[in-house]
Amino acid sequence: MMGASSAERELVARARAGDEDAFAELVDAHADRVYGALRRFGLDADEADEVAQEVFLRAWRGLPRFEQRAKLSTWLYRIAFNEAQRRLSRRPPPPAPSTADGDDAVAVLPEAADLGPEARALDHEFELTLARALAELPPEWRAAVILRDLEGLSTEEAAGAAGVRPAAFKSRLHRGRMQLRALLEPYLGLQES
Amino acid sequence: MINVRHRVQFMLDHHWAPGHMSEYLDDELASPQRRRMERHAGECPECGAVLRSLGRMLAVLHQLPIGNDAPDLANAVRRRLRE
Repeated sequence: MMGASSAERELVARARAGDEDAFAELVDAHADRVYGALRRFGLDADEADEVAQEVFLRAWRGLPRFEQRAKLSTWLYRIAFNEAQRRLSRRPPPPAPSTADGDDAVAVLPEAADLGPEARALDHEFELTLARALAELPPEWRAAVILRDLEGLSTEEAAGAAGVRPAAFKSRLHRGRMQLRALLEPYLGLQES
Repeated sequence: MINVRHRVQFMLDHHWAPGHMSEYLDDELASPQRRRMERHAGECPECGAVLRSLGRMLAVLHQLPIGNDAPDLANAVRRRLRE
């Protein structure tokens, strides 16, 4: 496993041999990231809890096939991405926006002024606004932005987690970023005055 | 003649630049392409503004904390392994 600590390699080896305690340590080490990514993929708290358990159960079953040259975190992201897609695909389609005057999706996001001067990046309000904006993106574009820009994976790692070649991933990422920029522009004041 | 050539190059760059802004900001463009982006962003107000706002958005996103306090997954997973 490139980039993995020797302690993690040891835990993976023990888990592959059937040691549940070792696997529980790996779950503890990666739980927050997996759960956080699932929330950002668009699952609510209960769904993310349930799906995160499923991710780790699949990982346990898949450990014998886990390619040691990949990072465990990247592999877990890949399982999480697939499970989130599966869960989201079972949801009924969202109702059409009720903007009778034909405003686009940007109009449903709160303006910075509505939230007070303290409601800028790095706060809870922004996270909610970001979540609403991410939900507007096509799932594959959303996943690309989440993996690369919010979870901090490299392009190669994120492409691996999304299960596509880097070139295809870059295309999704760029489209997702451009749409997200348009959605967040009124909130973040990205336009120059 | 020079003006025509410059205008044609400008339009080619204007068509090319928006699709490569992410790679530029991720430092994944080769040097000649980086220079092409910087030259065009410097002379095209529209593309320059988009590039700068995209960069500002990424700076905000990259500062957000990773992860989210998860429920006690280890115990839940362990229970399910034993079911």
